Order: sequence, then structure tokens, then C-alpha cells
Amino acid sequence: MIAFWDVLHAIFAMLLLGAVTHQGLSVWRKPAPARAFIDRFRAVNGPGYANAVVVLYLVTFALGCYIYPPYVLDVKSSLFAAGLSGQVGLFQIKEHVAVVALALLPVYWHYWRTVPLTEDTGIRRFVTTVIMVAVWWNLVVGHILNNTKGLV
Amino acid sequence: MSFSPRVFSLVFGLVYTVAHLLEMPLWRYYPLVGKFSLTDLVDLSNGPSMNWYGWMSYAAIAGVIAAVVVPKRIDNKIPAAVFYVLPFVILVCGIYTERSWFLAPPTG
Repeated sequence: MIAFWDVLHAIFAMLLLGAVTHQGLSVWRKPAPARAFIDRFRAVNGPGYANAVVVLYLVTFALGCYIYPPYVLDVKSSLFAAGLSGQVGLFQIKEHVAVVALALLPVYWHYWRTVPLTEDTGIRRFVTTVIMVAVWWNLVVGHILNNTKGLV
Repeated sequence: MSFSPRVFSLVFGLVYTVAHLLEMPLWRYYPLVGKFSLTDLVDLSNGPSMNWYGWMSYAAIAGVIAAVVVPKRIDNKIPAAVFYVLPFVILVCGIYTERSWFLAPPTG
């Protein structure tokens, strides 16, 4: 059953990754006709993603919290016993990175949904980028840990 | 009564960092035996404790209270620059406390 929740967590993480990457790249885009693929990728309506990113982040985070105890019992102890304390450390940092994005989520929502888009562009760009990088980091670290048995 | 997202973010981040640095969770979870405890159960038969939920609980409670109690005029005085620094404070403290995982010699 834990595999089901693990896969569900990964599916929501992928949805979140897509949404936050579209939005995260859009905040760095200068208004211009979107011709190249990367410009079309980031020529999205940024504010339209804010609620989706908040909901997807909370669902992904909650699923991660739910599957965390089996990880501690089965995976973490096995990694440590195998001398792979670096991988354990990476996951421990994943905890804190997840909290960084969680802490920024309300302020992110505030700057996207209640402040006019012409104001506070710097902080809006910053918090969106931090959340995007946090999501990418956690997804990559999660995959590294998931595949550790095959990697070593 | 209003809720300030900016105050919540700030207080949540700072309280999480302090609770984590001081190893002070509101509660602990022992996944091996499925027990929740407000105190540290030193009996090794309970297995490892998980403190992360307890740190976040402190942060969430403090964040909600502050976000409701702090008046709008004080909220408006919080400079946006604070939110440029907050992620780095949480992250640097987190990496600092986890450094032993990278310094420990392999055991296997």
C-alpha cells in the first residue's frame, strides 16, 4: 500500500513541478512575442497558476508527511547501515527545503493574488523562484533516494 | 479579525528554525511503535523518534496566532527584504544541523 501513496506523491510532485516551472520562468520573461519554444513555455498567465501551485504544494507535502514514517523505518535505517550517510543527509536537507517553500507559500500567494502585478515585482519573482528551485531540488533528491539501490 | 499571510510566513519560518536548532519539538512520533509523545521516550525499544512534525506544529501554531493578532499597521511595516533573507536563514540552519551526515565515516 505504501507504494501506492509513494507513486501518488510522485504524480502530484510532477504536476506541481510543471505548474511552478511555467510560472517560475514566466516571472523572468520580458514582454515580447513568444517565438522560440522556451518563450512559448514561459509565456503563461502567472497569476492563474498561484492557487494551483498552493493546492498542489499542500497536497504533495501532506502525502510526503504520510509516507515519511515508513521511510524512516525501512529506507533511512538501511541507507545508514550501508554506510550511505550522505544520502541520508540529502534527505534530511530535503525536509528543511520543503519547509522553506511551505513557509513562503502564504507570502507567495499574497504577492500573486492580492498585490497589483505592477507592484513588488522583485519579491514576487524571488519567492516564486525559491519555491520553484525547492520543488526541483526535492524531486531530484527524492528520485536519487528512490533509485539509490540501483545507483550504488 | 483578519489573517496576515506575510506575518504567518515570517513567524512560521523563524519559529521552525528556533525549534529545530534547539531540538525542541512540540511532540514526537515513534513510527516503530506508532506512539505520539509530548516528551522524549528514552526507552530504545520505542525505536527512532521523528521530531520534524513537532517543529512544524510549533511553527504553525505560532504563525496562526501571530497572523491573527498582529495588527495591519505593523504588518505593513514589515519590509519585503525580510522575505529575501528568510529562506536562507531556514536553509543555512538546516544544513548546519545536518552536517554530521556528511562528516560521519561510512559504517557499512
